[in-house]
Amino acid sequence: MLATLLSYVLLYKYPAIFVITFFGAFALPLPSVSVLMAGSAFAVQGYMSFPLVLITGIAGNMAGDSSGYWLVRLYGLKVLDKLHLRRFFSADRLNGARSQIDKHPILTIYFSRFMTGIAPAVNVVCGITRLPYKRFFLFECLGEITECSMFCFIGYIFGSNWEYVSQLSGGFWVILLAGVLMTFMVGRIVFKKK
Amino acid sequence: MNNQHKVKIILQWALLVILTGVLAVSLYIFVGKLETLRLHGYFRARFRHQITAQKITPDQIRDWMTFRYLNMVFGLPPAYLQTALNIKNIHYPNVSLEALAKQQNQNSAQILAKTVTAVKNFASKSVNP
Repeated sequence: MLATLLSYVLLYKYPAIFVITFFGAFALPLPSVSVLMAGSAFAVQGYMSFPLVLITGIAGNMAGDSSGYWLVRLYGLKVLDKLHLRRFFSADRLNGARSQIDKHPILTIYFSRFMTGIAPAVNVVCGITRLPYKRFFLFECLGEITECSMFCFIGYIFGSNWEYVSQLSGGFWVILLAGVLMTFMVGRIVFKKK
Repeated sequence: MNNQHKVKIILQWALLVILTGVLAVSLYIFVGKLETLRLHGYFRARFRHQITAQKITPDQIRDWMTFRYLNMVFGLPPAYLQTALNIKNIHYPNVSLEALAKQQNQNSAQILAKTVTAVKNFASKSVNP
């Protein structure tokens, strides 16, 4: 799939990057991180403009996240009603989930941006619990700017060797997130006991 | 200690065990990939070509690349590959090697090999005109 997407990036440049990052952030499991790294590598080679790759990537991701959030916020509960699944989403449960996200926005919204498989699910939860959009947007925006800048700079630095780095980046983020969560859990268990 | 508190503690320990498992498996896969790259000599090559990372070599040509991109990165004259590969596609150079192979009912590996050879020939002619 990545090969086909890269062909589109070489053919249509920035609109292709926007569409791929948009749908990647919205819900589809697209390798948007690899596309951003490749786009930056093409920029180093003079085929594209690095600032435009970065801005397009951030804009596409933010638009995809916000679309997912608003779609679920406006129609999520109505769809659940039609599917007779509303009973699993009582007001108490939704409020409880919202207050947890509200308490830990960095852990939930910000860090989830680095895990392309998890971010759309977090958008759905934020939308269905009706987390205030301003709060969602702030942390989503900060997360996407950090994520896109980081991967674009990796692509820029490694240039034509981006393919090798791309193989390692997915595993690296799983390790980092699992490590952070483990530290959090250990701290919680140990300090609660004392 | 009431039942609800007990359940909460059990859940926390269960989550910790799951996270430890995820971390261990991820580390195992990550280190395995690093080892594979090391065995393929990637790290040695990486440092050797650090300064020229912005350039690609003919061996790095892939079938998803378009002819316009190849012309640009290798500094080829626009019609060079069209002539060398006898391309009659009207979309040239805005077509990928893979798409061209499909249109011409050829194996993309064949087109790729021909392109690599053509680019290498051009490079050797440029060095020794």
